[in-house]
Amino acid sequence: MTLLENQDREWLNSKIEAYVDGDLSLVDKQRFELLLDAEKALWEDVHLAGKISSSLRAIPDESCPDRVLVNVMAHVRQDIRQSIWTHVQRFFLNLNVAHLKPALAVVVLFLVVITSTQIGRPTENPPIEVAQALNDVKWTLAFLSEAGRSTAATVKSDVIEDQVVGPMSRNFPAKLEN
Amino acid sequence: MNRSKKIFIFIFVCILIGGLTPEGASARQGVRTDPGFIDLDRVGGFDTFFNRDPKIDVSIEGALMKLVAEASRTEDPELATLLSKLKGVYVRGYETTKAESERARKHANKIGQDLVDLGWSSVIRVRNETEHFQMFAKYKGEMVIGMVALSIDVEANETTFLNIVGNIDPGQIGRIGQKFNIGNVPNFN
Repeated sequence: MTLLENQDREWLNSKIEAYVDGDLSLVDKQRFELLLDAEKALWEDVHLAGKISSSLRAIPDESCPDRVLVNVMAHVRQDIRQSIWTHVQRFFLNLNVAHLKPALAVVVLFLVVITSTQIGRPTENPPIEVAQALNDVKWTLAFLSEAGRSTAATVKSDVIEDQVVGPMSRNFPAKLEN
Repeated sequence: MNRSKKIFIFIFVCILIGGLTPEGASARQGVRTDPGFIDLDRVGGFDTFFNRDPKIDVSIEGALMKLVAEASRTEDPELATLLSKLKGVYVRGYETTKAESERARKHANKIGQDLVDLGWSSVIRVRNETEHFQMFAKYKGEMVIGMVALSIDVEANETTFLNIVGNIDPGQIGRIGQKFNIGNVPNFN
């Protein structure tokens, strides 16, 4: 009764669902039907599989509960992130930086040059009006400072020494010596 | 023209424009109504007294005062700090003959009295054969908010009248002023 080799039978069994669902390629479909013709008893299995498939399709779709959906999506996102991170790690681990060293050296040198030219760089000269005003202010401060010192010197020599130290030293020489 | 120069010019123009706006004008007006300010031309009246314009005529206030403070920040941070507290600097300087200086010494007494009447305190007054120097301060509490100095140097033939407005630390002015040379400014020399 068995006309098929075991190998062909196994192949046939594995393709029944695909045949019923119409997912077989043209070549496989032709082979499947050729083998089926050789053993008619298997048609029952095919009919049964067709009925099961029709019954399953007839069952109304049930929506996934939100709680389950949220958890599933969280796992999916985690898997995607993990996958991206793994790819990035692999990229850098596989990256051969040896040939990039000259380019990196040029970039670093460029940054050093730019930084060194900016640090300690003298500021732009202010406009002439501001420079003149600054000069005038400096002169005013210098004038006040000089006047203060000159006045202090005058007070010291003309007032303190002449009017205080002099008379005291004349009147109380002995006391000052002690 | 590089970028920093453009930025500097932009800021300068903004400040100048700010000085022309009502706000800028009110800032100038604010200095001139400050208790530490005196109108050197009105109080001193030296233009009329000497019958000529001053050889040194300095009026730095408002936006220019701020700009001057900022311009000195890199070169001299301590000076910049002092200047940032000032609202205005005004100087009138006259080259005088010996006879004019002698006359000015007598005129200085009247100016001193006028300042005292205006609420200024006499801080220093030195008079000898060759010079007459007076300094007045305007106080707000214990803080000096204005300073006026009048110097008549008979030998040098110079009469200088100046006013500084703002929060003033006389010690700081004396210390910082020592760094600068009067001779660097060519007006009198």
